[in-house]
Amino acid sequence: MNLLSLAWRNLRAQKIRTLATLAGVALAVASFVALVGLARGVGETLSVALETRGTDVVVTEAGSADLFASVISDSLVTEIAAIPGVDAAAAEMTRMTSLADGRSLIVSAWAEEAFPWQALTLVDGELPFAADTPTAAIGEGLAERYGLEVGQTIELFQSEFRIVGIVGARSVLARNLVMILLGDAQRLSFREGQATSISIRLDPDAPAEAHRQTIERLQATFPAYAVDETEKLASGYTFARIADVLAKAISIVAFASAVFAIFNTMSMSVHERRGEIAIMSAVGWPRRRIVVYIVVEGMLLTTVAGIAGAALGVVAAHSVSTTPTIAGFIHPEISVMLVVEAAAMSLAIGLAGSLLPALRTVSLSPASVLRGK
Amino acid sequence: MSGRETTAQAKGRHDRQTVPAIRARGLAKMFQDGAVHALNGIDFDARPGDMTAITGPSGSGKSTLLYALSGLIVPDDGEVSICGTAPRNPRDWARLRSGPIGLIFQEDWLLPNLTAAENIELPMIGVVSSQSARRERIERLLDQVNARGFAHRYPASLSGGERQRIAIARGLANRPEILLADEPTGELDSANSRAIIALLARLREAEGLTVVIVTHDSGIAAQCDRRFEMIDGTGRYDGEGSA
Repeated sequence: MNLLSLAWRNLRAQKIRTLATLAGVALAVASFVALVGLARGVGETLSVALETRGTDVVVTEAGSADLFASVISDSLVTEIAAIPGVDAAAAEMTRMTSLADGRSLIVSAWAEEAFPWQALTLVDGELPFAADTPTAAIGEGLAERYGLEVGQTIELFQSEFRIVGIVGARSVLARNLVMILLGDAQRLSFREGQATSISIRLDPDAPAEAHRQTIERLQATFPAYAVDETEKLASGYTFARIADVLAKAISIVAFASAVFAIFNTMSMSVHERRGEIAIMSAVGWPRRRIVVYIVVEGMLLTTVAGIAGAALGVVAAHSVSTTPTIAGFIHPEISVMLVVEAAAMSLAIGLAGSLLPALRTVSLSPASVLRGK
Repeated sequence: MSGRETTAQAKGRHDRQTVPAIRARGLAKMFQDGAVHALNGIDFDARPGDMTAITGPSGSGKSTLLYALSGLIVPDDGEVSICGTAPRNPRDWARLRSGPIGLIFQEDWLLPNLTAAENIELPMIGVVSSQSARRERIERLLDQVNARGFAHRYPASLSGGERQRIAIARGLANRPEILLADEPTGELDSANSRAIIALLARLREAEGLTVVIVTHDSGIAAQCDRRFEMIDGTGRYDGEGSA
C-alpha cells in the first residue's frame, strides 16, 4: 500500500462524486484539445493546401484581412515571373461561395496554363478548359460528400458549371475545392483583371539561401504588396488567429471551471475525511506527506480525466470537422505537443484544485478533530 | 545474534531503566482565550514499562494531558521529553509518533476504505519500505490482538471490540516503546472493555511497553501500576503529593 493506492481507494469509494468531477475536468480538457486543434487546423489546412500545389510564396494585397478579401491586379504575374529565382507565377482568385442549398465551398481559379494545375492528380476526367459552358474540376472529397460525378453540373456564381474532372489531393482543403478557370471566375464575379493573390513557385533546384534572397528581392521590388512564404501566410491568417484566440479564451474558462470543480470536490472530500486525516497525523505522518497524499488524489483524478478528455477532444474535433458547415475547410491539427499540453494542464488543474484544501486540512489541529471538537 | 550484550545495547538498557519514558514539567494549556485552564502546570512522569492511569472527572484535563504528551496539542507552557529527548517542532513530534509513541483513541478511527490489515499498515507507510517486513509485522500484530480471522474485512463489518483491537494493532505497528491510550474502552461494553484492558496488559508484558491510559473507570485504573489523578487541570499521583 502506498499514497497512490490509498488515493485510488478514496476515489473509488465515492464513485458518483468522482465520476461527476472526472466528467467536468474531462470536458474541459476535451474542449481545449478540440477547440485548439480545430483552430490550429485552420492555418495548417491552408498551409498544406498551398504547399501541396507547389506554392512557395504568395503575394497578396498589403493589409488585407485574409486571402478572400485581397484584391490584386492579375497583370502583376508577368512582372513577378520575371524576377530571378522565381520558377513560375500564377494569378489566383479564391472565393468562398454557396451552393443552392446553402452549403459553403471554396473556389480557386487559375489561368489554363498556370502551374498549380500541374500539381493536381486527376482521378477522373480532365482539367477545366475554355468552353461555352464553363467547366470545373472538383476535389474527390467534395465529389464523395455531394455525390457529384464527371458530366454533372454544379451552380457557382449563379451559373452552371460542367464538372469535367475529379481531383485527388492530400490536403483536406484541396480535396474539397472547386477549381475553375480564372477567366470564368473574373467574368462571373465581375472582377475582370483582378485576382486575390499571385502564387509563386521558387526554383526547386535552388538552395534555401537562394530562396530567401528571392523572397527579399520580391519584397523589395513590390513594397506595396505583402510577400509571404506559405507557412507564414497560413500562421498569420486572420481567421486562424481569431479562431486561436477564441479557442484559448474558451479553454481558459473551461480550465478555470475545472479547477473550481476539483477544488470543490477535494474540499468536500477532505472535510468528510478530516478524522481519517487527523489519524494519519496521529500515527506519525508528517504534514508534508499528508499534503502530498491529498494532492496525489487530486492529480490522479485529473490525470484520468485528462486521458479521457484528450481522447474525447480528438473524437469531438474530428466529428466537428465533418459537420456540413465546415467539412472540407478545416482538418483538426492535434499534435503530440497539444496532447502533452492538455496532460500538463490536467496535472496543473489537479495541483491547483487540491493544494489549498490539503494545506487547510493540515492546518487543523488533529486533537480537535479526534476529540470531536 | 551473539548472546553477548554490546556496549550500545547495555547503554540502551541502562537508559531505559534510568531515563523516564515520558517526562513532563510545568505543562500549561488554556482554551477559549484563557477562559478554560485545561492544564495548570502539570508535572508528569511515566517510568519505563509502567502502566499508568490518568484519571479524573470529565473536563479535568485528562485527555488534554495525553494529547500534550503525544504532541497532538502544543502546550502554552512547559516541556515534554520522550525517552530523554525533547521534541521541538511538529516534525520532531511526527517522527516520535511514527516510532516510539503509539496512540489509541476512544473512537477507533479506522479508515473505512481499508481492510483491517491495511489499517494496521497505515503507520508503516513512509517508515517500513519492505513489503515483506510490513506483511510479517501485520501478521504478528494480528496474532497478538487475536484478529487474524478478520484481517481482510472492512471496519464496517466488525464489532466495536474487534475494531478497537485493530486500532490497538495499528498503534503498535511501528514497534513503539510508549502506548498512549485515550479512553480506549469508552465506547465498549464491560466484557469488551475487560478484554481490551487484558490485551493491553498482555502486550505491555510481551513488548515491554510503557502504557499510559486515560480512563474514568476506577476498575481499569486499579489494574495499573500508578494512577495520576487530575482535577481542574492539576494532578497528582495517587498516594503522592500534588504535581
